[in-house]
Amino acid sequence: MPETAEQQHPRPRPALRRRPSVRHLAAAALLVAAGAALVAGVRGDGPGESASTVGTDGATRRGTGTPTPAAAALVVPDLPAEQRVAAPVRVQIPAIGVSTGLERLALASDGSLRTPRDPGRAGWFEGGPRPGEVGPAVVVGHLDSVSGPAVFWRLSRLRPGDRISVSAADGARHDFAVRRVRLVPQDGFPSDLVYAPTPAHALRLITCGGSYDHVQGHYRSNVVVFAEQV
Amino acid sequence: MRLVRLVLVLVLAVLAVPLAAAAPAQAATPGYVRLAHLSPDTPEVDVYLTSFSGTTKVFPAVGYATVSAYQPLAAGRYTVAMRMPGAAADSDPVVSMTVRVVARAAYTVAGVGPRSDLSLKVLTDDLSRPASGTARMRVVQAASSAGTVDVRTDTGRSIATGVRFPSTTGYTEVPAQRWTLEAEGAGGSPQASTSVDVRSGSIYTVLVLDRRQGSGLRLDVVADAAGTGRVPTGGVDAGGSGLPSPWLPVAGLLALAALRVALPRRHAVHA
Repeated sequence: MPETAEQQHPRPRPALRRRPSVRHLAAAALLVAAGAALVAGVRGDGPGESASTVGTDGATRRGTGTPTPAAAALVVPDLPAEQRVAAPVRVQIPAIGVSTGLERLALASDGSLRTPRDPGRAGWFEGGPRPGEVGPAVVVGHLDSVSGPAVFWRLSRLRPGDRISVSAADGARHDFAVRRVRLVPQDGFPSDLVYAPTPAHALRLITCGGSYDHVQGHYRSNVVVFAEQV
Repeated sequence: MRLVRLVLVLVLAVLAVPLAAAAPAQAATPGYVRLAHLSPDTPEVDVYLTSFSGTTKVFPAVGYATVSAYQPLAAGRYTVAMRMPGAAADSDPVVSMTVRVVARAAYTVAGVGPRSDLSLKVLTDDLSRPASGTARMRVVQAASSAGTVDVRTDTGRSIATGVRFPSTTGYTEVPAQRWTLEAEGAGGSPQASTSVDVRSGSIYTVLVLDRRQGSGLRLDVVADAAGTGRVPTGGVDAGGSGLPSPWLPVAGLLALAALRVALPRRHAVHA
């Protein structure tokens, strides 16, 4: 479109300035999309989303077809104390190329969860259940360090169904499947969702995510992967 | 040209927005159901768990005082039915009921009461976080040999009093430690006791049962859910440098595309 066409309008604008055009609107749309992409990394769904995943009917997950009665053993569940499994020593996540040894993580004096000393290794929270036990076992890995990406750099790329394998000190292997991946704010961390009692043999993988707060020197969010034993 | 660019831009925008919205990923979060036979004089039954989509799981020959492991189930409606052992799957069940399973919730579906009045009952299992250093416990009175029972620790701490057969109490908080639990029928008889390692952050059901042989009570404790002993405060500071997030390249590309579209094409003057 010739620039001169715009100059006929009696507005005190330089010729270079044109009225909003399709081009501008399109550019704006792209910028909005770019912003959305950025925000997607920041957005935390937060706790209390109980309804968000409700309503998926059994039809979608349990497959279709004719009823096929399958015998399933009934057992009286052991008490957690009696089904203590060995401590975890390695986590493998083929989908994102992770195979890492594990440190033991305890609580810091302020009550927060310590993180691994080595950015190249993950750690498991020894104050919670062990992976393979009933309850929410927690494994933490750094997203990055001053020298570059760390062990859980790609954690947010995990998708439902991806497998996580935890090896225990006694050689046993516990396999988990990703249920969902959530970005949650560190300020207002949904402890109830992550650490609450569960009847499942559950595993949570945690790293940093979202935007980086250069003033505070840490990320504003956590990526939490919710997985259950398969 | 303008039309082409417009189409290109719209396509990009349409592609970009779902891409951005797609993370974090969500999948069907299951609910949990376990089955229990808590009717003292009812013989073994086959228990059917059928989703409304028609998938059936059968637990054959389930006897009194049996509690299953939790089954993770997609949220939705299910039918639980009890049939006599070996009865045809399409025969009329002894009892049946519909259970609505909500994601992340847990239920115990139990056959309760005397055989003459057998019914299925859905107990909602508490999965909320107990206060630090404590656990939660409830009592299911499934012993017909005692009309009502009291359950307490051997130190005299009451867990539940006057629990009728057949009924279930609400949960009560107890300090996490190894406890000896005692049950006692009205008037001091019959009695039973058991020891249980009560872990911080976990949830338990105490079953008051008739003895299989002879008369008298016995106690069984099942874990409903296990939690975290000492829950960490706040989030987890597991990042070091603020390297560009994986989203930055996407945002950058889109911004570049926006710039490219917005700026006049310089070489156009040559056309």
